[in-house]
Amino acid sequence: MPHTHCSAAELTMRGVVINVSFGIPGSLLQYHDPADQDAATTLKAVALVDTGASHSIIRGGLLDPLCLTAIGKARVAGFAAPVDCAIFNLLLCIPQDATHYSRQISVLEMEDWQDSRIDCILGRDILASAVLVYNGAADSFSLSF
Amino acid sequence: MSRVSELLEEELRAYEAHKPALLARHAGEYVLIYRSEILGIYPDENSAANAGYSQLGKVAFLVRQILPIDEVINIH
Repeated sequence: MPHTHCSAAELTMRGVVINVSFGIPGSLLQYHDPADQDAATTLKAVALVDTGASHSIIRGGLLDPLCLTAIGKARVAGFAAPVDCAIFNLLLCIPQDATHYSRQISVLEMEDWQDSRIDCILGRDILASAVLVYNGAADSFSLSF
Repeated sequence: MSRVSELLEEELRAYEAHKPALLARHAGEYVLIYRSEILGIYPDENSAANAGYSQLGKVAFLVRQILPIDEVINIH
């Protein structure tokens, strides 16, 4: 099964962190103008795999280069106080060995994002279709979809 | 005022106005709303979002699961 690794050094320094990319869904590609250099179709991000989070969250403004519009908003609890978050629907790609895992998802955008080391959190809504193995003796993990 | 607070206000008012009728026939499904108009009902969120993208392009539209009580998402 293709999988993503995290080295011992990364695991110690930042936790379970992986590189991902976000893209516009295929149904939106017909509206993309290749001549518009300000409008990207994909962008790279650093993601924290967080089994303690029920939903996936992205940093506010992260998706601006994709020129996506929100498809909803939701009240989110679990922080100091409940906050309203925009909901975006997009394509998530996770590199796996020589291939990649790709899936259309919806994520919450957090305007008041505190952690500058990561761009997003992959929560249990995405991990529900994954196998996450932590090897404590080797201080490593693998994530497979 | 944050940009989220102003987001999709017209669509959310339309959802609330149509909510009793939507609940009666489509509870648990997903509604696609643009401005004050209901464009369709779909079985899942991605289908509704793709229909919105295909029909409307990069404009703001609302995809909402039809539920009796709008859930507060508890992140933990």
